Amino acid sequence: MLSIIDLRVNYGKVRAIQGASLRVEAGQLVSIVGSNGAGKSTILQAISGLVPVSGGEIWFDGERLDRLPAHEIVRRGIAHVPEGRALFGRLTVLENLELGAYARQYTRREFDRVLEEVCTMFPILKKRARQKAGTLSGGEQQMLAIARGLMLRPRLLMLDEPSLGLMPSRVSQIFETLSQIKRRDLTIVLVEQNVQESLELADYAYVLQTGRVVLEGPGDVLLQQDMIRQAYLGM
Amino acid sequence: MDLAVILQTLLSGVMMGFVYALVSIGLNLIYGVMEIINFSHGAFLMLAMYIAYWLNVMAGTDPVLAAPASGLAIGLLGALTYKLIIKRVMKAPALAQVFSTFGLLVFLEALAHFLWTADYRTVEKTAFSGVVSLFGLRVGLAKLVVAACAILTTAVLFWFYNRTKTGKALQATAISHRAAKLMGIDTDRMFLISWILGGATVGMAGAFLASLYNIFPTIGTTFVLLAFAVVVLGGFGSITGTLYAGLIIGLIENVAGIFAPAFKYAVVYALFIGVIVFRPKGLLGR
Ligand SMILES: Nc1ncnc2c1ncn2[C@@H]1O[C@H](COP(=O)(O)OP(=O)(O)OP(=O)(O)O)[C@@H](O)[C@H]1O
Ligand SMILES: [Mg+2]
Repeated sequence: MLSIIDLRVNYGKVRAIQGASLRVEAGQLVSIVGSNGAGKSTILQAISGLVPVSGGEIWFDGERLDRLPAHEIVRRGIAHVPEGRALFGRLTVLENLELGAYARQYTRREFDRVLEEVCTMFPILKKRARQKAGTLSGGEQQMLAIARGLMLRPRLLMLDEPSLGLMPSRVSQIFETLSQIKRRDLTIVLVEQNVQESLELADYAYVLQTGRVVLEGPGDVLLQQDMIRQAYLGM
Repeated sequence: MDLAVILQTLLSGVMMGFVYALVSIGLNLIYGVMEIINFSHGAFLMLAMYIAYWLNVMAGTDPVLAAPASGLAIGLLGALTYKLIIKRVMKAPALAQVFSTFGLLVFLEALAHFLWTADYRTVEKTAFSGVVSLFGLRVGLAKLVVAACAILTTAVLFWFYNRTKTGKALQATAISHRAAKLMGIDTDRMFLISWILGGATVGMAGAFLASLYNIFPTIGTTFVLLAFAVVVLGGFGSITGTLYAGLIIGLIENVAGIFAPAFKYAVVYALFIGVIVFRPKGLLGR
């Protein structure tokens, strides 16, 4: 479904991604793990057109994505829930969800149905619908960010550190939600610092180090690897 | 001083306040969406006043009825300004942006001077004249019609901004270009729309003001200073703030006008400086 071939991304002189190749098959949950500054967020930003690509190719369903402007990429059905959430804090929860559906020409009825669907997954958002997004708690904000992504009815959902900055009980809640979403046959790319949980959930995973893929394989296989256990799980 | 005079002054202040708000809103809309100050805003207003004037001379159209035409023309001018100038300087240093729109202001004023000379011009044929009574207060009909039209235009703009999908997308873009892009919003298109709306609103305001003031090439400067005061008081980036501030400035100007007519603008700009010093983000700014 998604294939990234020999991707290179530079920020001025900083070579953030130095030739990375990744594949995501339809219906899979693919995890990208790696230490701080490895280039995980940069890969997601390259896919969604937020940073210019300086080499390589990105293909999505037989169409080349790099070179397309960001808003066109969203229209192809790719939702990116970025690091830091990027909510519209001054707008209400409902307005944020409406904006999540911006790229779709839903009829009123379709919109209501998608909204209902998303709100059954995150009941708290329904209660907070008229509240300003900026006044939600951290965990609620993260749920809103994911829910807003789901409003697109995405074909590919990309999540960048959804558990960042949340307390442990909230983190497990987020992972519970992710496995729920996964059961709906959505294709997901997940970037996470919680390597254990994210590999348990992943069909396939990539380990990134200074802009290169250094290890890849099915999640459960990677969990058994000494390199992963030492570097990321502290065993 | 008797009550009628006070009420009369307040009413007049509120009426002019709506017009000032409409004059200022485009400036703040563009700033909110893309953080660029359109220094040629005043020249846009001046051109709109001339459009209304010439339509009046040539076709006898009342200036208020010329508003759709001048709104359209100045909206188009806004679009051209964005496409031909702003787009090219967007990534340039802030100073280059300042000089580009400031240069446009100087150019448009010089052009008006060249085409129409520095003569003061006055709209002669108006459809609305005389005095009517409103809640027992006496109001010039022309001013009343102008205020009503300014209120209507502002209401339509607020409806668009707060209730339509494109309006919400403008708000989203104003909050964060990056987050807006992630929603699939074409931010470049939003920038263009903000310039069209910014031009169209000040274009309509110009037609509304044409019957109340003398028209000359630098008339825009007077109003744009007032518009800056309104935007600063209301808060950069908040068009609701701009509406309130327009009303406040209109009231202050009119109230100060009865006590110390010669100083009414001094009072307005003293407030302007006070706001900058003590509450730089204005009433509702961020
Ligand atoms: N806007 C930018 N300008 C310059 N350098 C950048 C920029 N964004 C990222 N980088 C650099 O690119 C590299 C990869 O950054 P990236 O944010 O992709 O890492 P990450 O794996 O997501 O890290 P983290 O786990 O901390 O989120 C880092 O060395 C970072 O310093
Ligand atoms: Mg990151």
